[in-house]
Amino acid sequence: MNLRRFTSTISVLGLLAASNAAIAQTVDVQHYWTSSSESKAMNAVADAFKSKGGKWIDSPSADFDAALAAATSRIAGGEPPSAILMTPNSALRDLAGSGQLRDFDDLAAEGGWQKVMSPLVWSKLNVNDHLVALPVGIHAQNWVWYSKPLLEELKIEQPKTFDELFAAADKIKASGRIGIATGGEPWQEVGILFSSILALGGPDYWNELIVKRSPEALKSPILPQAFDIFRKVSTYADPASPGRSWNDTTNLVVTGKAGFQFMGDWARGEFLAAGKVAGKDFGCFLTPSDKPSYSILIDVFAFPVNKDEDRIKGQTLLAQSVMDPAVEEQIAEVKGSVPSRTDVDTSKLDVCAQLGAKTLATPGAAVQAAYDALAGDLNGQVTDLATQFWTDKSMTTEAAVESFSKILQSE
Amino acid sequence: MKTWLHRQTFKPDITVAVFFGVVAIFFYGSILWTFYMSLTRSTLMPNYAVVGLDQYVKLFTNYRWLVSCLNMVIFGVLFIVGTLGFGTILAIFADRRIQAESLFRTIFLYPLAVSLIVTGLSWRWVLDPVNGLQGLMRNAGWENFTFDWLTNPDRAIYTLVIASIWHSSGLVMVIVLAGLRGVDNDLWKAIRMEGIPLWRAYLQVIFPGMRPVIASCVVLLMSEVIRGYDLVIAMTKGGPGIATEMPAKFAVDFYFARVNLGLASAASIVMLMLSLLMLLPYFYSEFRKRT
Repeated sequence: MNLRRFTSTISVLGLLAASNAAIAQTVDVQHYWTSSSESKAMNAVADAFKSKGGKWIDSPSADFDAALAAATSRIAGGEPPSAILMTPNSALRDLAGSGQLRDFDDLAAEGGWQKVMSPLVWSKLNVNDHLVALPVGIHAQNWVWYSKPLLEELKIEQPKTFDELFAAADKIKASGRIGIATGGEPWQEVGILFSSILALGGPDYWNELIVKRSPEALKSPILPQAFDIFRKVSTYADPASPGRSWNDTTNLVVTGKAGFQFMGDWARGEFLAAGKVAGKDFGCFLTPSDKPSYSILIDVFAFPVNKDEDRIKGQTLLAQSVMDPAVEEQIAEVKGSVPSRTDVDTSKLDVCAQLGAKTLATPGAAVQAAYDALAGDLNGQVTDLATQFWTDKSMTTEAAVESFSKILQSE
Repeated sequence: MKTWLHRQTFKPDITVAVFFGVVAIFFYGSILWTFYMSLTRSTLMPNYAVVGLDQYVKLFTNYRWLVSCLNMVIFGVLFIVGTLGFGTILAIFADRRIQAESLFRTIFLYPLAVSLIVTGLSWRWVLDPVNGLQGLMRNAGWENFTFDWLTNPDRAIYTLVIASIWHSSGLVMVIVLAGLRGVDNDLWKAIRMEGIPLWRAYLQVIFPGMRPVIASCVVLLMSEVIRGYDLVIAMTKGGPGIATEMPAKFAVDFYFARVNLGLASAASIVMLMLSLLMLLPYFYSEFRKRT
């Protein structure tokens, strides 16, 4: 080909591409929603965004940590993604504190977003009085899931206390199946510990212990009791448990190979993705407690500061799509979460989601999950302790409580 | 174009200078930066205020770090001794002019071509107590067969050793075999004439003369030990509990998942010190020989 004609073709193509980019509203979304229910939820957001004329670039990572790691290096390298899926934890506070995140105060004021969110959720999304994260949905950690056909077969009622739960698990174990299925990964194990603490202590104790980290709360007899329950649950783990992912573990309950699973309500998404119906094929309850409590984990999008005009417009469009009540409802339907907007119609959601929405709306029931509440790597240290206690049966409850207190008072 | 190329004389100094420049910036520069970060309280993003050795104190009071270091020592010793022993035996067999030598050599070298992630996953499946070897034996009628090391906190570290010996002994085999092939034929004749038994010939005559070959193997294997990350991730993810945590995994976890740049940098610097410490005997012996 004639060289001159070649270069002119290239430059025309380049101009076309440039002009095209000037109109498009692009988002590059760094996320980790890869399980079947999760990707359906992400598609709900993407479809809403695309139908409004945006261009969606998908940047998935294998898990939460990898997504955050990729996003951090991209920010440090000057090529930030337009949106990161994360939770409002210390990493979000760090990013916002160092001025890396775009705030949405103007859009929030325009859309009246503060009025349609519960105060706890709203406070988690704001850093230094700026709205730096937008909620995708609200999960809670302290759920227990069970296989309804299995419980009916063995004539077991839905347990209301820990004693009933363990009695039921024993019965299931005696029938040759797994009583309580657990995936032996540290984050799954520590979730059971936190659920036990919340169930025994209730929201007030939780706030004293985890949020305020008061020394009196650490001396309470509730803490050793919670560790004992945690240990008791660990005795039901099957030999294949170590290292098993949460969704593989949920699948054991889905297929009736196991009775119960302690897991956040993202597990509901896996039941739904397997075509199961809440209340018929599977059942759910919050960890047995006489005080209603709901330890929430919020999935949020954070928006790193971008310079390109089309990317900034893309962020705005994505923000509007995420906050759209219809999209929020759709996500809740497939993902297992509860909508973060209180004005979303929940009547179409299933019994488990309705129980969640009801508990969330109960005054004083919602608390922030430890993952978000504990500063710095305190949560990480507690996780290390929990997995150690879970696997090392010779570790005493007293020693565990002592280490726990030391960690919480170390910062 | 062609004449222009010809006019350029090759300038080795410039080429080498560029190379050293790149190494200095990206290698030693990164080490210096990491050291700097280890003196700060950086979390997700760098924070440039120096606070001193706080992170090192934190590191050495962190139980998980201590377990990681201990695991590295256990794993390292067993892995290096095991791989050297196994690889050397294979090399000796191959050196006895067996039938189809090149076929066996390829078979034993093959694992090295498999990435550590694949190695880890395959061994994870083989050793899985429910779906792997144990399950197979039990299904075949041997009801009491138990091999649950992978999920046993006291034994899991040994499964890593097994997998990595499988992975690396082929490499040691080829290197030692090359060394054996280099042994002078006259030496063998002398051994035969003296009527020395074969095992003594290897142990007391052949291998002492192959010290540099063995030393290179040890150095190669040591770098595997310190880098030990992918195998752990694929096989145990550091579990059960923290039973198979390794320093490299500690550093990566604290860089990213725990967003604690300062502590992770301190861990990296300590790892660097450990590697230098491990290589000290090697440098020492090399240095002594030269002078």
